[in-house]
Amino acid sequence: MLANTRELHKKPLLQRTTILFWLGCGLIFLTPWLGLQFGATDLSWQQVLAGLLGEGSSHVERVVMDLRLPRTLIGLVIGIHFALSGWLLQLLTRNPLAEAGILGISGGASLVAVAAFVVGDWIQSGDNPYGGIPFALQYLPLLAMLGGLLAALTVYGLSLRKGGLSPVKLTLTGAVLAGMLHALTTGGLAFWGHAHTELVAQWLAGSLYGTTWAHLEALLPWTALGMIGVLILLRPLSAMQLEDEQARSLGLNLNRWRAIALVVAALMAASAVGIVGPVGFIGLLVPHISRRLAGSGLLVQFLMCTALGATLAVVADTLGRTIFAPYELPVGVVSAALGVPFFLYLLSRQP
Amino acid sequence: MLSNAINADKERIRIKAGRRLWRRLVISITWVTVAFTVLAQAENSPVTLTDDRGKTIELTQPATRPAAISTFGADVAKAFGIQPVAITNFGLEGAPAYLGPDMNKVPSLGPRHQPNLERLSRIAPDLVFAIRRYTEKDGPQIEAIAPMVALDLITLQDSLHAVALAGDAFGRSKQAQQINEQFLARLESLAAQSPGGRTVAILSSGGETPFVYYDHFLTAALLERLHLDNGGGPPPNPDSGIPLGYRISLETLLTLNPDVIFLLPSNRRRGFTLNPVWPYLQAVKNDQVFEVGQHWKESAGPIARSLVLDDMTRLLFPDTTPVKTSLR
Amino acid sequence: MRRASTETNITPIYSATILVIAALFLIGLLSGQQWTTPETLWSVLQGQGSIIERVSVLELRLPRNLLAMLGGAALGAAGAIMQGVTRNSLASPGLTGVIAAAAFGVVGTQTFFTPDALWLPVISLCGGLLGGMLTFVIAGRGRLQPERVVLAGIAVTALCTALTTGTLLVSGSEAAELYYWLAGSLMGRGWLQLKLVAVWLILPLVAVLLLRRPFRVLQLDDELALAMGLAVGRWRLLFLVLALIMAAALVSVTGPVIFIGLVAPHIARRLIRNQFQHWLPLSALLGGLLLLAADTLARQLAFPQELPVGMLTALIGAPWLLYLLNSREPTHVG
Repeated sequence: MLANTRELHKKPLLQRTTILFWLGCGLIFLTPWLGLQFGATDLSWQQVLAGLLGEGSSHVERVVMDLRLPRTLIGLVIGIHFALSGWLLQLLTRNPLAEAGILGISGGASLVAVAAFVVGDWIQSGDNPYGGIPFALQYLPLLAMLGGLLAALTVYGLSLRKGGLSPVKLTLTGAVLAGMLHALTTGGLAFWGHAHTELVAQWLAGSLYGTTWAHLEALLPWTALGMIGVLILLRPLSAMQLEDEQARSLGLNLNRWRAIALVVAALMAASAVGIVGPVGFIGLLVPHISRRLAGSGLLVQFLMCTALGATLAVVADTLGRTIFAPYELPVGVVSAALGVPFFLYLLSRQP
Repeated sequence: MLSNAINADKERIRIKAGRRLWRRLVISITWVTVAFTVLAQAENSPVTLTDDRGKTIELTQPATRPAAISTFGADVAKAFGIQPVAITNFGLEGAPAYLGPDMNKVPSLGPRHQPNLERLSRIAPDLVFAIRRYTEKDGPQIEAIAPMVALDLITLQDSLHAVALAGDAFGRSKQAQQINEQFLARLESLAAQSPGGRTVAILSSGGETPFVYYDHFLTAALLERLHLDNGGGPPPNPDSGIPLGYRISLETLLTLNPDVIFLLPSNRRRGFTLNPVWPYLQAVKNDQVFEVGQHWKESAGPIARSLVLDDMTRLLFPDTTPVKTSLR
Repeated sequence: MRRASTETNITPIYSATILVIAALFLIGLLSGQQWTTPETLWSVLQGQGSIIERVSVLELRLPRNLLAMLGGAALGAAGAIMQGVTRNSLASPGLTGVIAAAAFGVVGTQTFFTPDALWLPVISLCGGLLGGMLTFVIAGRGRLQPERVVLAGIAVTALCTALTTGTLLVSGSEAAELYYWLAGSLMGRGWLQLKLVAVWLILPLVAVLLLRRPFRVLQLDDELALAMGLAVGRWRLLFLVLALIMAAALVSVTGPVIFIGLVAPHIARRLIRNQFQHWLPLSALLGGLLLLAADTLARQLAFPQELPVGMLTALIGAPWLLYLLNSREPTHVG
C-alpha cells in the first residue's frame, strides 16, 4: 500500500483527486450491495433484486426491505458521522489519536442510556397497563444524544482558557471525563441493570441490530447539517493547521472556528451514538487511512473519510452478522477487532 | 277387500317407517352439520389476546406454528402438544434439554436478547411468544414478521396468566385452564404437607458475591407458597417486578443463615462457595445446598414449573434419602 | 495556600494520614450488615464472641480492609512511579490502558476457559503489561508528550473495552456477572483473594520504596541522570514494570478501579511541596486511604446493598482532577 500511495502522491493533484473521487464513489455505491447480499439467511442475487423491486416472496421482501436495506443505509450514514467527527477532532486537537470518545460523547450518551433503561424500569410500575410504554425505547436516541452533547459541552466549558480553546486542555479534560463516565456507566449497569444487562450491553457495544427506516429518518437531518458544516469549515480548517499566531495573522478568528468545528464534530458523533450506541474505532481508523491516501488536501481527505467511513461501517456490520449467525457481533466490536492490526501497523510505522 | 286393506296398511307402515327413517336421517344430518359447523367455528374463529404490554393482538385463527423468544413459548407449546418452530437459547445450554430431544431439531434464533430477525423471517411463524423485558426494544421489527405476545414471566401470576393466554392463542382455553388448575392443586396439596418453618434462599452467580432473588420471583414465590421463608425478602417496588433480586453480601447471608440454599447453574467455580464464610452457613453444614437446573430460572412454562415442583418435592420433602448433589 | 518555610515539616502529614487510615480501618471493622460495638470487636480479637461476630470481623471485614489498604497503596505507588518516571503528571494505570487491558485479559480467559484462581493475577499481569507497552509505543518511543500518552492510553482502553464487551456478549447470561466484576468491587473479597495478590502487591511496593534514590534521580532531566551515572533506560523500564505489576495484579481480584493511581500522587505532591523524597511513600499511603474511604462509603451509601467501588473512585477522583486541570497546566513533574 505504501508503494501505491507514493505513486499516488506523485501524480498531479487534479489527477489524484479524480482517482480518489471515483474510488470513493465506487465504494459508496458498491458496499451497500454487500450489506444486502449477505446475512444470517442466504439469498441469491436474483432474490435480492426481486426484493428491491417488490417482486419477491414475503420473506425476501422483509429481509431486504425491512431488515437489510435500512440497516445498510444507516450503517453508511453512521460510518460517515463517526469518520467525519473523528477527522475534525484530529484536526482540531492536532493529534492523530483523537476521536469522539475523548469529548466524552460516548461516555455521556452511554450513561444516559443506562439511566434511561433503569428509570424506565421504575416508571413501568403502576396499575396502568398502558403505563408500560417503553420509556427508554421511545426516547433513547434523543436522550442519548442529549447526554453526549451535554458531556461535550462540559468538556468544552472546562477547556476554555483566557485565550480561547486549548487543544491540549481539551484532550486531557475529555480523557478524564470520559473515564469517569465510563466507570459510572459500568457501575450503574452492574448495580441496577441486572434484569436486562445483555440488552444494554448490546447497545453499549455499538450495534445496528434492530435499526429501521425511522432511525434513518431521524438521522439524516443531522447528516445534512454536518456535511454542510464540514464544507463551511474546510478553509478555516486548513488555516488551523498552522501555529496559532500564524493563523491569527491570516485574519482567522481562531476561537470561533474552533468552537464551530467542535460543535459540528459533537453533533455528528452524538447523533450517531444516539441511534446505534458508541462506535469508537471508525473515527480513529478512517481519518488515518484517508490522510494516507489523500495527502494534505483537506477536501480530498473529507471525501475519502466519507467514503471510507461508510464502507468500514457496512463491512464491519455485515461481517458481524454473517460470520457467527444466528449470533451477531456488534459493529463496534468488529471495527475494534479490525483496529488491532491497524494498531500494529501504526506501531511498525513509529520513527 | 281384506288384501287391499292389508296392502294399504303395509303401505302405510312402510311410509311411516320411511318417514321415521327420513326424519332420523334429517335429524342426524342436521346434528352432524351443526356439530361440524360449531367445530369448524372453533378451529377458525379469530382469537383476540391482550399481552402484558396491554397491547391487543388479533389472530384470524388459533396459532399452530409458534416461535419462542425465551423458553416459555416452547414450553407451553409442548404442553399443548404443538412443536415450536423456532427457539432462543436456554441459558448456557442451547436447546432446552428438559423439553425433550426433539428440541435439538428446532432452529435456533440465537440469544433471547438479540433474536435473529432474518431467521425468524425465514421461518415465518404465525405467533411469537416473547419475554417482554428483552424484546420491547425491538418489538416493531418482530411484529413486522409475526404477531408478538410479550409476557413478563416473572411472578406466579405472570405464569398462570401466560399459560391461559397461550391456551387462548392455541384455541385450547379449556385445556389451559385445566393445566393451571392442576398445577395450583398440586401446589396446594404440597403446601398442606409442608410443615414450614424453614428459611430458603435461591442464589445465582459464579463470582465472589451471590445474587439472591426477591419473594416475587416465580421459584421463590413457589417456595413461599410452601410455607418456607424466602431469604431474599419482598421486592422494593412490587408493581414493577424488576429488579428480580440483589447482590447479597456474605455477611448478610451469614446473618440470614438460610436452612436450605438452591444454587442456579453457573459455568464457573462459584467464588462465594470458596469463601471461608461458606462452611459456617448451616445449610452447608447440614448438606442442604442443592444445585438446580436452568429451569429454576426460566420457570414460567407449564413443564418447567412442574419440574420445579418435582425438584422441590424431592429435595425439600424427601421420602427417601435425598440425592446428594456435589458442589463444584 | 499559605507560603510555608522551605522545609515543610513532613511528620504531621504522615501522622495525619496514618491516623485517618487507622480510623477508616476501624470503621471498616465495625460497620457492615450490623454495627459491631467496640467491646464486641475487642472480644472478637481476643478470640471470643459469637460465631457470626467472629466470622464477620475476622473472615470478611478484616481481610477486605487489608486488601483495600494494600491495593490502594499499590495503586498510589504505581501512579506515582508512572508519573515520575515518564515526567507526565497524567500517567496512571487507568489512563494508560493498563487496567483496561488487564481486565480484558481476565474476562477473556474466564469466558473461554476455566482457569484456576491462582493463575488470575498472572493473566491479569500479562494483559496489563501488554496494554501498557502498546500505549507507550503508540504514543511515540521518543519524547513522550503527555497528551499523546493519554490519547494512546484512551485508544488502547477503548480497544480493550470493545473487545471485553464483545466477549461479554458471547458469554450470554454470564454477562451480568462479568459486568458486575467490571464495575470494580471489594465485595466478598477475603483472605483467599488477599493471599492471592499479596505477593504481587507487597514485593514491588517494598522494592520501589527501597529504590527511592534511583527513582528520585530518574525524575530529573535525562542528561543529568546519565551524568550521575544512572542507566536511565534500564531503570525506567524496571520501575514501569514494577508499577504495572502492582496495578494489574490488583485488577485480577477487584476488577478495574481507576483514578486512585492518578489522584493520590497529585494530592501527595501538593502536601509535600518540595521534599520529593517523600512523594512515593506518601502517594502509597494516600492511595490506601482513598481506596479504604471509597470502600467504606460503598458499603454504607446504598445500605443494605453495596455500590461498586469503581463508581465511587470515579465520582471522587474525576471532579478533583478536573479542578486540578483547571488550576494549572500539568505537563511536568517536580
